[in-house]
Amino acid sequence: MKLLRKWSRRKFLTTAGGAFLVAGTIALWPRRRSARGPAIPVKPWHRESLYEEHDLAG
Amino acid sequence: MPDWIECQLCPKYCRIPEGGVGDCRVRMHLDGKLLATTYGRPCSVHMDPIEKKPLFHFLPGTGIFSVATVGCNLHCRNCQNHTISQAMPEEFAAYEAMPEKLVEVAQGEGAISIAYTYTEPLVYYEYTLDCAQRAHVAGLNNVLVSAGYVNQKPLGKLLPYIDAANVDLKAFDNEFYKNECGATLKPVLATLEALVEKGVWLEITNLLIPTLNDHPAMIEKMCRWIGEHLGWEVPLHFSRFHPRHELTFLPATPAQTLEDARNLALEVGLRHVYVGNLRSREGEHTFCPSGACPGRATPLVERVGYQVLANRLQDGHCPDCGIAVAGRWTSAALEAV
Repeated sequence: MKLLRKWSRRKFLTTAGGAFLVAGTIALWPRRRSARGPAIPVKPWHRESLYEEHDLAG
Repeated sequence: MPDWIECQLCPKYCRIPEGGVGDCRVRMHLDGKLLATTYGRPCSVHMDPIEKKPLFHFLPGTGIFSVATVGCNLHCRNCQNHTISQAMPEEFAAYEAMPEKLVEVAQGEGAISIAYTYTEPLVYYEYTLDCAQRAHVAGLNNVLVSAGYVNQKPLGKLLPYIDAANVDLKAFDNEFYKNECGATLKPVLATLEALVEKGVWLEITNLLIPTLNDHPAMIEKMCRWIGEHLGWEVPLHFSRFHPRHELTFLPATPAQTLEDARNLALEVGLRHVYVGNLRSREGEHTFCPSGACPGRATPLVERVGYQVLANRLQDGHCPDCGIAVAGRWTSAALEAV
């Protein structure tokens, strides 16, 4: 019984640790830069693009 | 429904969410608008010899005011300017130079031409267009040094203000464009045809990378296409690759490969073929294209690197046989200096 409890704890820690690593890797995996972009405000020198199309479905 | 904007400047047609940037990193969706974020913010401004672009048949021996902002819509694994071409605007210090100021500075430097170069001038399209319009009003020439990966509609609006262009035809192979550059070949060929059709002086650069695009059959196919679709007088520059960016495991292009490519292109029928990034006995000079010219062995324009040592052309004609050599050898701006 004592051995089982010890084994379960080890198994639990391994599973949790593994899940944490997988989740962390997915969360921090670099996405395409085109989908990210920095959160910067519109600057005075920015110009509106001359060639674009709005209101597209994602 | 998410609010996306589709950028229609280049064939990538990036669909950009709010706060995101396109594949070029400089066209950003902010507050429901697609913005050119590097407008008036060049990261590189420099006076260069025009031979550096390279342009050998356009006002040889003159200086050209060269400008670039960060960003590029291609991601070439061999890019020599990747520190600026693959950067985000906020990662790189930039000058403040709105179009009127840029033209003023170019004139102050004594330039008769402005080159939009180093990165990809078509991703900072609005800046290129406004600068080119102002430069023409001021009597300056405009030169585009580009990979030519753009849609025909925006290109058509820009071309009336462009006097000369050097387009980097990276390979005559769509797979190369896909694997090494993140682009496709067809739109580049359409750009080349549009440039010739609109009367822009065109020269082509082909950087030969060992094992990737240096196969003689591919080079021959490319040369035939250039001759048949653009004209046999279009100058072609075979340029030497140096290990850079992600291709540091490859060696520099052997000199013999470049000389062989030049000889092949001449055999196919192209009249003006050059070798770049390499000292060459004949590959840097302009010779008379006429086979019957008595002075054919003597260069019409003799160069070493970016320097013009001698120019024997007389009003664009060979002094030995009188044949006209294709190019723009003088301009109103040059005569006014």
